[in-house]
Amino acid sequence: MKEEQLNDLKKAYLDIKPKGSIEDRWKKLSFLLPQRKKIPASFYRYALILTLIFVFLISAASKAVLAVKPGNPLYPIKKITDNLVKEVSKKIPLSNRENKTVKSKINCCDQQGSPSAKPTTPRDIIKNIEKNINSIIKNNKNKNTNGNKTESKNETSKNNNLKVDKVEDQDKNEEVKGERTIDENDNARKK
Amino acid sequence: MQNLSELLKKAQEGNKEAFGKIYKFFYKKIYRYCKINIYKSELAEDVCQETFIRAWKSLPSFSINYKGTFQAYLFRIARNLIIDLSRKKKEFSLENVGEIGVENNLEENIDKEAEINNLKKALSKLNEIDRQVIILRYFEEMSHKEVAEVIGINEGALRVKTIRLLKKIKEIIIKL
Repeated sequence: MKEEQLNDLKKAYLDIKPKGSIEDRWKKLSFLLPQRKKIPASFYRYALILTLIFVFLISAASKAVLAVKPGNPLYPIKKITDNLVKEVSKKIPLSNRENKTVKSKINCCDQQGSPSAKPTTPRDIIKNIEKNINSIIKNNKNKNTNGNKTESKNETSKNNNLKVDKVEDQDKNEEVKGERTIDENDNARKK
Repeated sequence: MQNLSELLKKAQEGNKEAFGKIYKFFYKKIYRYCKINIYKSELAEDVCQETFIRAWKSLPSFSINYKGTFQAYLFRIARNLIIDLSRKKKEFSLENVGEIGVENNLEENIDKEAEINNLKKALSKLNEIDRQVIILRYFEEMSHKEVAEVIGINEGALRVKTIRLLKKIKEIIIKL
């Protein structure tokens, strides 16, 4: 009974029909529908070609601008681009390579120090790096001092050589002077 | 009728003739859905036309993969328009059918008129979502997935709801 009543309701629903013909309604509606502009396929081709040309021109211009020297009318553009690059590079975080070098230094510290004294905080890391730098500087200083000693030796020998040279020069001058006086004396006698 | 997907493709490209065929195929369904939800038949016709205009405008962005079947898509547009209208003009909503009475010239046949009156009374005792479920699932025989798409609820939840609603509508019929 319930099912029949439900089916009757369904029939009543399906019997709902619009007044007048659908064809007339469609005719009315077709005038109201906005015309859709169809984009031709050639448009996309042209757009692609134009963008490629644009990209090529920009890349060529940027390369040309980078090679410009002061005095050239394009030099201000180069300055602007350089400034831009600087600003952008500031914002970029440390590269992996730099991180790797820091890590390698930390590992060096670990190997040198005890395993319990592993650097955990950034301060510890900086201290370790400073220690390493100081040790390197000390090593360099020691090398320099050793080098200075040998150099001083070399310098003394050089000085000695210079002294000998000077003495020889003096002797030569004296000889020349002596010859001149002899010649003068001879002339006076002749007169 | 040609394959619906082919017609849709043509309509998406801007072919009005193809859209006309789709219109003629779905018009009755959309009209009775509007008619049962809106009290005035003139308003129902207007909403129906507006549904197809909106569908035409948004057709290029329509995709079966993302938006489900075209039927569900049309019903969803119609439902949104009905909701907008009921917010603007409360007197035309189905909840007030008992207070206002039935339109005299609704159908020529008096028996049919009485049946439709009964149907409207039965549906008016359900809330908005339950009414949509009954109309779309039992009267329009749409799939659970399509109904879920139109109403905007989970398919699983809808399956549970339909069983419960069937019992409820039968109880309402006895009381009528």
